[in-house]
Amino acid sequence: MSESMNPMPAPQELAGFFAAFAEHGAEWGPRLAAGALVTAQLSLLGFMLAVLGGSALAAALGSRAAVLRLPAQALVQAMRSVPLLALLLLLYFGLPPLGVTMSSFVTGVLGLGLYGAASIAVIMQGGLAAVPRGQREAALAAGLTPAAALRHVLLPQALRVMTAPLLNAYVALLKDSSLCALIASNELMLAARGMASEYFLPMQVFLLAGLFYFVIAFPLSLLARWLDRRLGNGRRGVGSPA
Amino acid sequence: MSGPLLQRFADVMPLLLAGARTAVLIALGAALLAAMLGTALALLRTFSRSRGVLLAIAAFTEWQRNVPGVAHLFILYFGLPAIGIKLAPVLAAIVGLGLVGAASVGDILANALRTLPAGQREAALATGLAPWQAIRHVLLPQALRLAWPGFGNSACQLLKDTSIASAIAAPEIMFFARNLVTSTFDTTLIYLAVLVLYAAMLVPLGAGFVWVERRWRRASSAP
Amino acid sequence: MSALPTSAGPGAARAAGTGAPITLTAAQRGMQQRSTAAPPLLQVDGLRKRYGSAEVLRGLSFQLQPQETLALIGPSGSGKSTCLRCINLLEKPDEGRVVLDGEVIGQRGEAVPGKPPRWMTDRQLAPQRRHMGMVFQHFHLWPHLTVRENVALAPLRAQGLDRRTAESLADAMLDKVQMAHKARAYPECLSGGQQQRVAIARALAQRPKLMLFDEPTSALDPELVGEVLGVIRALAREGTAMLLVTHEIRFAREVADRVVFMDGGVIVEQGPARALIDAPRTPRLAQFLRQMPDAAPVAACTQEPC
Repeated sequence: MSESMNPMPAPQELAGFFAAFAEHGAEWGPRLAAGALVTAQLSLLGFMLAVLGGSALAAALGSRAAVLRLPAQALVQAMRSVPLLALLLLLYFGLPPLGVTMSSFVTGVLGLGLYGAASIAVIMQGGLAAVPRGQREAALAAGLTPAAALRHVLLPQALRVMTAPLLNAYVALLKDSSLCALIASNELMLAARGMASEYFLPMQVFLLAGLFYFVIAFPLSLLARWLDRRLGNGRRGVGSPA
Repeated sequence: MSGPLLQRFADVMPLLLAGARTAVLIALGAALLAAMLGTALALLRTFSRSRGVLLAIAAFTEWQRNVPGVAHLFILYFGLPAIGIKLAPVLAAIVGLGLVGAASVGDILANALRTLPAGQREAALATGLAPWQAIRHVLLPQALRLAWPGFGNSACQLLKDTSIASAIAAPEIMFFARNLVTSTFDTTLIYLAVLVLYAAMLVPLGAGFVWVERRWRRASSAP
Repeated sequence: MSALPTSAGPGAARAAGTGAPITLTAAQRGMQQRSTAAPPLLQVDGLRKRYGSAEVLRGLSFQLQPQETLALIGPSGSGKSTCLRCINLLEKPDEGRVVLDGEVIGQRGEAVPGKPPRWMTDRQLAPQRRHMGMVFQHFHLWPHLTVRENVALAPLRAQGLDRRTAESLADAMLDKVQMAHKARAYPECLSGGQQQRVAIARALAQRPKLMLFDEPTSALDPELVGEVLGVIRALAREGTAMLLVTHEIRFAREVADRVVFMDGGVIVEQGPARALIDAPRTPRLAQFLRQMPDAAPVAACTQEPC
């Protein structure tokens, strides 16, 4: 473990630090933006897959049939007990020997979708559980079938509670997409890595890359927090107390 | 790639376990940093009146939580040398993951403190305790209990995130896995073993947090 | 065909296993006809229900005639609400049978004595539940829908009416409970009494054969109770068949035709409302009435020391 510390950087060094941005910004911007586009694609497609998978998992988790419920529980527990990177590497390197080879993009989407599905399933369970029991009873008592009750009474209310956590889940997925750089996806982090060694200015390049992520994720996080305040706590369902 | 399954499994494990030791080391170091710094941040957020302090903490927290861990590690490992600070991979991982963890812990703890009834603090002060005593003996213990499940999640996330340290060449599990693959080509088995190893660490970790939570609940409801 | 006394006849044999409702044969209906002047609208036989080790209903049987208002009173824990919820099968009894207008509610196949009945799923129960309108203690209005949408939802989705008909039906029912002026409002803007009136309109919009009220005023602030009782009183006057679980003894005395007093899961006493409450025949009822703050003051006991 070796460390060497500098005294406080002199003003010229600081100026030089920032000058690099001015000098190379025009080249870095577009390249990082191209990577950001791939990041967006990865995260959005992965999120859609996660929502689809998560809905199916949530339905299975709530099912009375153990043959559906138990494997779903096992899958959710498994996804929460391993790192995403390990899953991505397994999919990218571990499948080809078995005959299944996918591009890094597809692997990324699949990995993000599978991993995210577990979180989404838990969010959905929580959303439905947050709807007071009396709501369902009133719907059934009025002669609605369980499916109609779900569609017209329970899901609309559950969605209100789920929106903020779902947004947070997307932000998490967005950050996780950076791991796809390690399976050779041409997304933002990989672009930054390449540029950092090209220009020998790793600090500036990586800070800029971080800024890219921040600019996309921060507004979404704020939105999620605002929604949570408005829909989750303040405006509780007034029809039923419990 | 020959021989019975269990044998191949047993062959790769020692090296992977060596990686696991490093992963645990990183996780512990980062957890320590996260706990100390996070608590400090939470206390400042709850009790400081200074706009500047609150803004700085918010900026730090938001930066940590909206930028991916890989970026944080790259900035520390590749970026710092450019201004003269060279960190070894494990240390960079500890610092990087520790800072992210601190933001998370600070957030969770601050929320827990905010949830406590105001009367708790008032009652403590009314009995003549100094403010820091009130915090230490009355508020933090209760906030800790409220925050515990969140801490459990953060701890599990931290252990999982040690895998990212492979990107900066820290000798943890993924790093050794990759080496093993190039030497034995038993790719599928190795990466499956990696998953099993992580699960074997994470499931007890999560269960441990739940166990502590249950013990507290039993203790507080005992006659 | 089976000769079991509880068998429901040829209709049941065909219906068994398909989830279709079981109807009583003409012979069974005739039997009922001989025992009372007109066939009862609702017949409850031998309801038993236990939760864990506690038996909440212990063999409950009673009848409700067409256009009759029946009040179910009794102390907390006597099983009144459970009984009501067994009628539209929000709770499934362990034993017993509910018959509404000649149709056995909720059972699949013939009942085998000694074994618990096989119940339909919620999806299969939906058509039968449409005939019963339920009003809950905590209203359970759907907060994401406007008042009008709350009332129109069941007609629209459960009964298959088209939107225009459903909405005009909703408006008519809201008018009936004097809440038409709030048709576009959301439930959270209404007081408890207003919400409960909308809940009554919602149940009425089903055009049910029977209205079920589960302590409709127990969750209301005292000053709001009157408006809800007023609606129920009007319904009783119109001859709506109602089963009313309530703590409002004076109201039950005034509005109900008959009263059933329950305690410990069984019926202790039943009879015409005014007579029962003014002159209870059992000490238990007398004691209960004495403890109820608003029971008619003249609750004289005609038996030994009350």
